[in-house]
Order: sequence, then structure tokens, then C-alpha cells
Amino acid sequence: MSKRKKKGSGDSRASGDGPRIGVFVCNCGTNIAGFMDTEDVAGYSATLPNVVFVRENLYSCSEAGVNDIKQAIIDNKLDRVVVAACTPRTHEPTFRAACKDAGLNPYHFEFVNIREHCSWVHKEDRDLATLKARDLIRMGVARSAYLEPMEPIIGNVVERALVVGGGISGMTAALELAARGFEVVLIERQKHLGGLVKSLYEIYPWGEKAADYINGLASRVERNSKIRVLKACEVTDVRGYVGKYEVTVSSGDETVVAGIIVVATGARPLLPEGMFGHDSRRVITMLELEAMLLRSRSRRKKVVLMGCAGARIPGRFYCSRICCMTAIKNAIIMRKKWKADVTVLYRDLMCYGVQNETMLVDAKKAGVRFINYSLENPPVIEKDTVTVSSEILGRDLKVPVDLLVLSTPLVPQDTNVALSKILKVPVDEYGFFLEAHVKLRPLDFATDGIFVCGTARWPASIRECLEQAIGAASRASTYLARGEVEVEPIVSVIDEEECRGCGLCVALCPYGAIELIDTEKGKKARTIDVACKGCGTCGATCYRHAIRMKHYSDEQLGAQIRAAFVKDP
Amino acid sequence: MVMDAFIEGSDGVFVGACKRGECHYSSGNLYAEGKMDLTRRLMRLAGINAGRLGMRMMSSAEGNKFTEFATAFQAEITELGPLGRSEGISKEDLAIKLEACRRALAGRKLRWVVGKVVEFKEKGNLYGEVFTEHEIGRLLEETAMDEYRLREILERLKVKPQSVKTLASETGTPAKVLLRQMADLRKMGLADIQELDGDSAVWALAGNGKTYE
Amino acid sequence: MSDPSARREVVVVGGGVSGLKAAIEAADQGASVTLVEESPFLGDLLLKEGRIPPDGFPSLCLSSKLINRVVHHPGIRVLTNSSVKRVSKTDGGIKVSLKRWPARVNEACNACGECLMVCPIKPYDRFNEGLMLRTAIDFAGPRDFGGIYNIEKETPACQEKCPVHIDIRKYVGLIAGGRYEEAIKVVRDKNPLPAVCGRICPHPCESVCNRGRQDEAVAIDALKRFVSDYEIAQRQAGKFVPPKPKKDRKIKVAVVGAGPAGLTVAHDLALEGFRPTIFEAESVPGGMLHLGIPEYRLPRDIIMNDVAYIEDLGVEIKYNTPLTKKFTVDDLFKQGYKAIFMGVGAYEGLKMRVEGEDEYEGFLDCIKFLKRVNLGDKSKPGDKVIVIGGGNSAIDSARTAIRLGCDEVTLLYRRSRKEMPANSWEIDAAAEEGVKIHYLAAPVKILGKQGKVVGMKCTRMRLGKLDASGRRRPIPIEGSEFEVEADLIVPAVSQRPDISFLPEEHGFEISRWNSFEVDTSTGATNRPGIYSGGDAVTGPATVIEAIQAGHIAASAMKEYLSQP
Repeated sequence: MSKRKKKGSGDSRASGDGPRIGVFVCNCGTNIAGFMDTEDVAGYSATLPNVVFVRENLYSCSEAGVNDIKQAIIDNKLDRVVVAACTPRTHEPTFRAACKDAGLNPYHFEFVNIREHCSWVHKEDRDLATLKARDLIRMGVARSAYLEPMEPIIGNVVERALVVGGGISGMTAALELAARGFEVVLIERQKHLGGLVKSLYEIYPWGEKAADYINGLASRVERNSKIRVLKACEVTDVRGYVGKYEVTVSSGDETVVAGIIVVATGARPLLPEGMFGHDSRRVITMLELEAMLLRSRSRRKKVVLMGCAGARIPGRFYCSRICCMTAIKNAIIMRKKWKADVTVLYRDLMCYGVQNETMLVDAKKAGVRFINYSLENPPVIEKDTVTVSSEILGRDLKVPVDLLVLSTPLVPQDTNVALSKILKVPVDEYGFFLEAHVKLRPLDFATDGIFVCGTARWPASIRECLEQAIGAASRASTYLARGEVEVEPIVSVIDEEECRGCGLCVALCPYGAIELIDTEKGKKARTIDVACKGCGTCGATCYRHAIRMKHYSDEQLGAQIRAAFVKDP
Repeated sequence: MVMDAFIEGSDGVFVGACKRGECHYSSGNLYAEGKMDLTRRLMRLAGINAGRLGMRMMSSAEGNKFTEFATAFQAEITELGPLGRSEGISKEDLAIKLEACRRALAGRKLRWVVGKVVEFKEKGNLYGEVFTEHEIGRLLEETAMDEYRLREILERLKVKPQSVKTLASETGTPAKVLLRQMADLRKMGLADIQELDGDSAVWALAGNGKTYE
Repeated sequence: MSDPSARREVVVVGGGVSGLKAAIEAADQGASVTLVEESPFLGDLLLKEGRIPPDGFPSLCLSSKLINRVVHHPGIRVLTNSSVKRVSKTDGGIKVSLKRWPARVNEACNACGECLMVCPIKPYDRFNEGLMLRTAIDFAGPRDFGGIYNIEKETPACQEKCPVHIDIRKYVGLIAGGRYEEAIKVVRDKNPLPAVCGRICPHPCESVCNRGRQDEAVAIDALKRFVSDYEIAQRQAGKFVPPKPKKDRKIKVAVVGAGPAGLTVAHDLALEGFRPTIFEAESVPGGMLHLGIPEYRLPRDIIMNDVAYIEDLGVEIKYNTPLTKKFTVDDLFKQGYKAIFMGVGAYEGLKMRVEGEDEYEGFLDCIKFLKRVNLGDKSKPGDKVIVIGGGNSAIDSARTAIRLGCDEVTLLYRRSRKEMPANSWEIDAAAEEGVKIHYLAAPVKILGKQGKVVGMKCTRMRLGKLDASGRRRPIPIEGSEFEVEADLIVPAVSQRPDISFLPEEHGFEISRWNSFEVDTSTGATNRPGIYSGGDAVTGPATVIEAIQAGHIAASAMKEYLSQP
């Protein structure tokens, strides 16, 4: 087809001689070489079309290996480099840098994974692994012939941060960002700052009054000249991309322009509707107990605290993490303040960390009773007693009670789902926000320039909220401080000749990265490079086939597929 | 691309994707799921075992699941044997049917409909009518059937001009339905009556090789 | 040019050859012309005929010339897809109200033809008897000039049939998808009394449901009941958020009667930011819903729930506040109400016009009877009861009498079961419960003793030719008389509005059925600012029709009140 030919003309194959491809087969010590015949693989590679150079390395990623590649590029005038080694996650940047150093465009590099995809999964069959490595390399080489040079995309960053949520995490993040000299707009849904912590009595493990702490924080935020606080206000729409998010807020026609966004919307305790006879008088939630302690007038003598009320059950499988410590903290307080008999019913006790474990010991010393129960035999609540079937003693215990406190878990804010759609970031099955990667990017969203901290992600203690807030602020600062963002040029390209401006791609783009512009020839779609993540949704949708993905073009992938089914001689 | 793989000689294609809601590209896996669903519909229409296209969703941390899926899929395909054999389709027919599938998938009509699915389900159409899952399924099935038939006719006419009667026996589509399709093709300027062979008209491609993308 | 001060505006209706020519003529004479054509394209029949007799002149040559001139004439504005809604006289001219159907393919269309290629909807091609495939999007007219793309869009049969045009397809689909909250919103969008309608609506929609041709119609009404029950449950759980009315306009509106029409008007106007107050004669809301329909068909808490929803919008209901000769609509205007809706219903039972009707005691017309029971008097009205009539209120009366413990309840209807206007399931239930139903029977004479009713002489009927109502006229069969014993006769023949509350000089135009004369497209009475609808205008009819009338009046009242 004519279209294909036209697109193919950009690569150097058209210049007459064909590309000069170098293949480097890494042994990865014995990780690869131990399970296949790398010598055979290397020898085979040399027979592939356009391959002019093949080298086997012990460790391609080592200093020696990298230098080898650089030298080979220069000596053999290579214009494509294929490394058959491990996963791009670890060493793609290394090899791209090597290409760049040797004067080759870094996107002329192709990675073939013969470790995770081959040697590790086919440990039991050496011959098969060797054959598969041949296949993989053949496919990689075929694709590399079609690789095109690309330059990274640079975008400017507005030096202003938007923090959503004025609780402890949001305020901390805002203060941190302001301390680094950046302007911050802080949006809070309620009429006052403070969030959930504002309704607590004392904070563990310090024993500090929550109100003192949070009010202090709030006044620091309010006094800070770098921070603008919008109260009783919500985010209604977000457009734009990292470096320039245009945020519409509910308080008026104003649009906040910010380079990055920190999501710190917090969580709320589950309301135990109809659970365990909750009536807000004799059966209350932990939050209601905090309020009771704050009022300090009413006191009870026989208190039972029940953990995991509505958590770690079918349908809400997770642990709310903070309840055990909160219960122990309040048990000690009630012991001291009210001289009450306090019993803690628990399924498992989790008091992670040094200070928290100490608090548990203190509680036991102070005479708080701990009784274990199981999910199958929950405590039976009657008017004056709670009957609990002790897992350890193997019999029922009757505990007199005049106040039963339920530790209900933190659950996501009801608004999370709506906000997640506005921000185009994911939430998990429960409705908590979901980070990009649990270990590699725990405070980032997959969408660049949006960060998460505090209980918006998971139930977290105050200390953890603070850590995450500071962390998120720090992550955000890397963008703000640099003033510009460098984005991978793996983006979609729209052929304006072919485009009919129908807008299908605009509607489908999950990142809002395509806009319709008016041209002399009518409306045309155009990719906003900085915002594009290269997901390919638009390309797969365009009925005109006018959109192609850089670095994952139809020719490249087609070549790879065709190569997969070539029969070896 | 999936069809390309079948055309190039693959007996099975396995697509691995992230779990719902965990896609690196936000909702790309859902779009992919929709496309795979459509591809399977077309394969069924072509008489090809749709089980040859496997799609499983798993998280990047579920290596064991991947192994499980891949092994099971491999076993399934091994049992089915080479493409076409278990279906009882000849090599020539298979090539035509796969090409028809490929062209239908790359074609504008299905791309439009699939592209609109999310909008139809969430926001509704021009009149604000929100489509239910059932309605979308029906729309897709009908469109896919229509498109597939049309593509298969075009592919077969490309091989040689023939009458509706022979086309009907080759495609397994009732002649009555086929005739309507031919009239449609004629209206679109893609096919026309070439000559009369006794009582029946012999149809051929029309429009100077103009192809319907 | 003629006198420039004279108004020279001409409306030409119809875009056929005469219309085109007329428009050109008028425009050439300097008038500013508006050409209104109902179809999406100009040219009409000319385009469809290939050649014009007698000489076979190609029609396109003529029509294209005309169309081109019209389209490019500076003095002509072309409105296709438009129809004339109303023509009224104004000062020295004529006002033409038009209805423009939405141009489904808008001006951005550059005739690329893509839509024809990709349209997946293939309706039956009527023009070719289904021999060809055609698409829902279509191209009409000559390709080079004046032709236009348009979409054939059908309203689903059920939605078309529903008097208030609820988007049934959508809410049923949403329910199927488990999206109940959205479903009830769709219902509420058009029907402010979903729980009530979910129980007693005669659901004309189901009678036209296409599925009915296959096996049984979709249970549209029951589904409505289901989502409204869901809403009630949400409400009780405190999870329900009432909608926010628009900005307060600080304009008071009076609604007379808290029946379905009045409630609808109040509901619509409250949402628009007006301040409606309902004046209700009785101590309960709902009008006929409460007074006429027995509790077994429509539980009272269901009515109260729908009413509570409307009250939540800020509507105030003043009970026991009837309009009287001393408290009139003029007093309402004096109290600062800017517009009034008369939703007074039809509460006056008509007489049977049978010999002896005025001589004896023992008559209670069905509305008075049902009202008495529904307001709490559950005493037995008599031992042997005759109900006369075939509507729902006749059946309601009979079934209610059974429930009050009457020994024998007989229902007389002068036509056959087929013609009976009551819902068929109600008739079945009545027979099931022991109501003796005589079809093709009519009263001849009331029998009495010592001033009290003791029975009734009836006659058998047969059906003759069609009458004005389209039903076959019943004719008495001579010599077929029979007698039925009774100590109470409940005529349920028909009702008309009771307008005895109006003062002598009320100034309303009243029909011979005692109903308010209104402009049916707006509900406006002849008195400015006063509107009416529901049974007060139509005589006894269904809830859903009253709601429809309420919507019509409310939108006209909004327009009226928005005038500076």
C-alpha cells in the first residue's frame, strides 16, 4: 500500500545501503549463559539481515560492556544497536546513554529480553531456550531496522503547586512546598482546615493534644504568604498536563494554574450503620469516643473497645492499620482519666514500630485487658454485657459493659471516584487512590506531575501522613525546581493531511493529550506532546489511520510479528 | 496486529493485560479488552475458533498467574492444532477469511463504532440516550456481522467474479441476505454486475480497484 | 419600493415548487421572507419525480434553479425541519410560532459522505420493500445543490405513547444495569409522582411495547415502581439528596388543588425557582389519588412520599383552604400571587337520568362514596349495593363496598366487557372478589318503598352501530327487563368539575361540561395569568394525563412569569 511506503521512507534503509545493525548478546554471568547456548545465539544473530556486527559480553551493562558497545558503534559505523540481555526497566537508560555517547540517536537502540522472557522461564530446557532466544533476537533485529531517531520533548513548568485537601497531609505538603519557595494553592472541601485530626483528642504516641497540633499547623498555613487557601471549595475540572494543569474550582469562575498537583483528600471512618447495635450512646465509634474525651464531662466505668469492626471482613479485606494503636492509646487515657475497667477485644493486634509496641506494654501495665476473638465468632452484644468467645482460652467470657467502642476502619472519601475521573488517575477496588507503583513510585500517580499522600491512599498514622506529605512535596519539587520537564518522545503523531477532525481520538484520550485546532483546511487533531503518554488508544481508534505511534509504529511492530514466523533454514 | 499474527501463521495469540483499574495507561486495558472482544466476534463469524485469541488480565506482580495462563493457553492451542484444521477450513478459505477479519478490524466502520462505545455507555449519544451493555453488545454484533460479510464478499470477488449463488455456498450466508449486501455494495460503488451467465448475474469488483478502507 | 414604514414580513409555508416560487416573488418585491418547510430539504415532490409532464422536462432543471435562487436570495431566510405551531393575531399583523426540529446534522457538515459509509444502524428500507440495505443516516435531494444529510430517528413506541414521554428505554436499561439512582432520575425528569404512577398508571406504554408482539410487554410500570421503592428506601436511610431548585426568583404562584396536576405544576415551578403555594380544600394531599382511589390500590404512604419530595423543593401546601365565593382567585392575586393554576379536578358525579332517581333516598354517587371511605368512614353503607358504570371508579366503588362488608355488590355496565374502560386486571380482581357483574345491562327505573330505594329495574342491551365515541351504541332489548334488589345505588357514570365555588362574576369561559375552557397547548384560561389542567379541563382521566397537563401549564406559566 502506498501509505506504508510513504511512512517507511523516513528511515535510513531508504538511503540505499540498508541499516547497519550491531547485536550484543549478554551472558549476564550465568543468568543467561547458564541456560542457553549463547555462542549459538550470537552466531545465529550474525546471519540475520543487515546485521554487520555481533559481540557476546559477560555483562553488557558493566563498564567494559558499555565501552565495548560504544567502540563498536564508532568502529563499525553501526546505526542500530540491539542488546539481548535483561529487562528495559533496569538497563534501557544505560544502553541508550551509551548510544548517545557514541553519537547515535538513543532511540536507535532496541532491547531484547532474553533473561526474564527466556532463560529464567525455560531453565529446564536448554535447547528450547536457545531456539527462543534466536526468535526473540530475530524479532528485535527486524524491528530495529525501522527505528527512527527522536528527540526528547521539553515542556515548561508553572512554578505553582495545587494541594487538594486541607487535612494534616495536605497542610504539611503545602508548608513543605512553600518552604522550598514555591507558590501553593490549598483547596479544602470543608469550611475550615484540619481534616479528621481536628476531631481527635490526643495523638499517639506523644500524648499531645490533637487540637493544639492541628490548629498550630493550620495557623502556620494561613499565615504563610506563599500559600493561598481556598476553603469550602472543590475541584470541578482539570485540564492540561504536567507543568501546566488548569484547574477549575467550585468557588467561582477562577481557574488555578499549577505545575503539579498533590492529592491529599484523606479518608473517613466507616459509619457503622446497624452494626453491633451502634446507637451513638452506649455503642459508639472510636471517633465518637474521641469527641467524648474532648468534652471530658461524661465518663463511663466499664468500657469495651472492639477492633476490626467492619474491617478485614469479606468485601472489605484490608486492615485499617491505625485502629489498634488508637484503641490502646484511648484505653490508657480512659484508665487514667476515668479510672475505668477497659477491655480491648481484638482479632490481631498490630503495633508496628518501637514506640507503638512500647505503648502496648504500657497499656498492659496499666491494667487494660486484651481478649482475642475470631471473625467466625464475633462478640455478642447485649445490654450490659459483651460475650466474647476467647480464641486462647477456648471458652466464652462475659465482660460487663456500659460503653462499647467500635474501631471502624477508615474508608475512602465518597468523592474519590469523581475526583479520580477528573484527574484521570486510578483508584483501587475500595476507592482509595492508587499510586503508580507500590515500590518504585509510591507517592506518584502514573500520570506525571500528580502525587498522592496520606490517607487518600491507605489508612495511615499521623506520622506516616507527615512522612508521605513531606515525600510528596519533595517529589513535586523536583519538577517545580527544574522549571521544565523532559518527556519521552514516545507520543502519537497525527497526519494532518489524513485527519478529518472528527474528534474521536480527542474524546478517547485518557490524558486529554489531543486537541482540535482550526486550520485552513478545517478542524484537525493535534497531539500535545508533553501530555501524551504514548498509550496508543488514539492510533487504534482513528478510522483514517492518520495517527501513528512514534517508536511503536505499525511498520516496527509489523516487522517484529513477521519476523516471529520466519522459518529458519 | 493480532490478525497480522494469525495471517503470518500463528495458531494462537495470547494478550496479557493489567487488571481492570490498574492499567499503566489509565483505561487502555479496557479499550484493549473491547477490541479483543470485537476480534473474537469476527473470528466466530469467520468460523474460526475464538479460543485461539486468549486475553487474560493480571497484575505485574502476579508472575505465577502468568505462568498458569500461558501454560494453559499453550495446552489449549496444542490441542486445537494448526489454525484451520480444527475448524475444517481450507488454506485458501482461511487466507480469505483472515484477510476479511483484518480488513474489517482496520476498517472505518468498526473503528467508529468501537471508538464510540465508551461515550455511548457513559454520556449517551447525540440525543443523550445512554446505551446499556446489552444494547452495545447487540449493536457490535450486528455491525460486526455486516462488516464481516461485506469484507468476505469483497475478498472473494477479488479472487474471481462470481454469482450470488456461488458466493452463498462459499460463505455460508443465505442468498437472500447476500443479495441485499450486493445491492448495498453496488450502491457504495464497490461491486457491480459484470455479465449475465444464463439466469444469474456475475458480480465483480468495481470502482477501478478503489478499495473500501 | 412601497412605504418603508409598512411591515413587509412574509412567511411562506411549504418548500415545494409553489412555495419556492412564492418566496422568490415576495422577496423580489422587497419583503423579507421566511420560508418554512417541514421536511429537511426543499423541492418536495419535484425532486422525487424524474420528469415533469406533459413534455417530460427534467424536474431537476426547474427545482434546482428555484432552490438555488431561494437559498442565495438575500431576502429569504430558509427554515427547514420546521413546522407551524400556532398562528395568532397581533397588533396589525400575524404572529407565527414555529417549531424547529433539531437539525440532526448541523452546519458543520461538509458533505464528506463518511457518515453514509460508517453508519451501523440499518433500518428496514420501506422504499425498496426491504430489498436494499439502507442506513439511518440518509442523503436526500440532488447531490450538487440543496441536498442534505439527515438522520432518521425514531422515538421508541413506549416513549411516544407515554403522555409525558418518559425516556423509558433509558430507565429500563439503567435498571437492567443496576444503575438505580440514575434510573429514578430519568423517571423523575418527566414524572413527579413516580411511586404513585408505579402503582396505578394504566401504562399505555406497555400496550405498544414491541416485545409484546414476541411474548409479553416489558413490565415498564412495575420497573418504575421498583425504582421509586428504591428511592423511598434511600430516603428512609437518609441517603437521599433532593435536587436543588434554581435560583430563587421570589415570585409567588398559587396552585389550587393538590391533585396530580396541581402537584406537577408546583413541582415544576419550584424547580424553576418560583415559590408555589398549594391551596387544598381537603385535609389530605393528592386529590383524586387520595379521595378517589382506594387504599388497597394505592397505599397512602406512597402518596405521602411523592408529596414529601415535592414539599422538599420548597412547595407549601395549605390544607382545608378551599376557594369559595368569599375567597376567590381575585383575592389570591391581591395576596401577591402572580399566577394561578386551577387544578380543582372533577368531583361532581353525573346523574344517570333514570326514572325515580330523584324520588328516593339511597343514592350515593361514586366520588362521594369513595371520598367518604377514603377520609376514614369505614362503616357499611348498605347490605345490597348496585354500582352503575364501567370505569375504574365504578370498579373501585364495587371492590370498596365488598371490603366494607356489603352482602351483595352488583355492577351494571351497558356495553360488553370489551368496551369497558376500566383496567382489565381491575375487572378480573372485582369478579374474583365476588362482585356480580352484569354486562350489557342498564337501569330502567328505580324501585322504592316509603321514600327509600329497594331495588332497580334493569334491561338487557345489545350493541348497535358505532356512536360518536367510537364505541358501539347499546340498544335495549325489548322485554328483557329484570330486577335487582338494593338498598344503595352508586352511580359511577361520569364526573364533571364542581365549579360551585366560583362567584357569580367569575369571568371564566366554562364549557357545557362545567370544565374550564383552555388553550390546550398552554393550559391558559381566558383570564390572564390563570391556567388550568387535569380533570378540571378534561373531565375524569388518568393521573399521567393530569401530569402531562401540569407540565404544559407549568412551562407556559414560567414563560408568562418571565415576561418583564
